[in-house]
This record gives sequence, structure tokens and C-alpha cells, in this order.
Amino acid sequence: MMETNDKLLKQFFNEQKQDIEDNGFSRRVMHSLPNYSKHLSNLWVSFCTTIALVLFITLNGLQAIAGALRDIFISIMQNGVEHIDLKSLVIAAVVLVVLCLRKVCSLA
Amino acid sequence: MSQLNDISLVAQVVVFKNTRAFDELVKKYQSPIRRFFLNLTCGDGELSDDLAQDTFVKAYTNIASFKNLSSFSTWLYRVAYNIFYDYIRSRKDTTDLETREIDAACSTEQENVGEKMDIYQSLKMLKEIERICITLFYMEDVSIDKIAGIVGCPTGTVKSHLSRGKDKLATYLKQNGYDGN
Repeated sequence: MMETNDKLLKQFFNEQKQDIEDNGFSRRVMHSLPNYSKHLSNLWVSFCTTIALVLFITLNGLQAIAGALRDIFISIMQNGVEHIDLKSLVIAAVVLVVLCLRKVCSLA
Repeated sequence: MSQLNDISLVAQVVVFKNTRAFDELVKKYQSPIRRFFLNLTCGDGELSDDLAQDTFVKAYTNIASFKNLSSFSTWLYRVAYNIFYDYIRSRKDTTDLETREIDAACSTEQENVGEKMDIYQSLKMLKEIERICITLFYMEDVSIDKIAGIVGCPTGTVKSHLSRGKDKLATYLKQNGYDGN
């Protein structure tokens, strides 16, 4: 009797057994893993940094920055002293004083 | 060979946090784990997929605790079993388990007579623990020793659950005209 039942159930379950298609299940699991999105963002940052470095080197980025800084410095030296705007200077000074006062008050 | 491959993939996940290796494990075991839950939930596809997803996420976060004392599949079934019992416990507040069992046992639905037997309908006859043992033994071909490891009880107890489940199922199948032919 027990053996007959066993045989019956084995046959029944064998008939019902079927593989389940993935249908995007694995992808959903991988996306829900902790740190997976962080890992992806790290990969993306690394990729962008590499591209930026390659472009910087191939397009002579260092030289371009040095040139731009030099031009700015020269133009400040040549024109800056002649065209000083007093009103702007006063506003900047007032802002700095207010900021200093606020800092002192917060410390107190 | 398959077990060695599993251990190699697990090692890659533990040491290098290699998500691609874990992806391979998920692809390999998604079908048996989802089928296991599908049988435990009596055919609730959405719920079984949620539980299976929780199982893999928990397996990933606790994969360092896999000590290779059993095969990876046995360990994964153990995780799945714990997930299922957590779900049962959380649901118990709203649904009375015994009432559902009595309802299922007293059900007079006969719509499947003469047709292909519905496995989920027949599994509803069983208590959760019997369903787990029967599903693992007959559907997933897991040995009694391994089932004992998965559910965390002695082999004698597993044999009792299997025997009771087997009797209930065989009676139900015969009553509904299934004779294996």
C-alpha cells in the first residue's frame, strides 16, 4: 500500500514538474541587491573619469589651462589697476564685514 | 563537478564581491527556488517570485555564512525555508492557519475530476510543513537527510511528515480519479 502510494506520488510529481523560464527574474534580483547600484555608479564614475583624463591628455589640457591662467593674470595686471570700481569695492567690503560679524555672533 | 562550480562561484562572491558570479548562481537556481515557492504558496506566482527574490537577496547578504558543510543548493533551500516561515509568521496575525486547513480539507470542489490533476489544489490538502517536505522530496528530489537539515528537525520527524502528507495526497488523488494512467 505504502509502495503503491509512493509510486503514485512520484509519477504525479514527475508529470507536474517543469522548469520555470527566467523572464527577467535574475535581472530583477541583481537590481535589488544591496550595493549593486553603488557598484554601477562607481563603474560609471570610473568610466567618465577615464574618458576625461584621456581627452585632457590628448587635447593638451595642461597647456590650455596654463595659457588661460597666464592670460587672466596679464589682463588683470594691465587693466585691473586702471579701472577700479569704487562702488564694487565698498559693496564687497560691507559684505565681508557682515559675514565676519555673523561668524563672531555665532561663535559667541 | 556542479558542486565544485558552485563553490568557485560562491568564493568569487565572498572574496571579490563579484556580482556576475552571483548572477550565474541566480540563473542556475531561479527555477527550482521559484518552483519550490510556487508549490508552497499553492500557485501564487506573484508571491512566490517576491519570496524567491527575498531569498536570493538574503543569500547574497549572508553568503559569507555558507560554510560548505552542505551543498549550496541545500543551503539555499534552508534560506528559502526561513523566508517562507518569516512570511507565514507575519501573515498569521490576519489569517487563521487552522481555519484555512480545515476549509481546504472540507472543500467539496470536484471540478478536476477526470481532468489533469491540479497540483496546487492537491497541495492545499497539506499542512505547511508537510507541503514543504513533500515538495522537497518528490518535486526537488532532495534526500530525507538534507530535508532534515533544511527544516532543522530530526530525520524521524521528516519521515513522519512525509508519511502523513503522502497518505493525504494519495487519498485525494485517488478520490479525484487519478490513478497514474
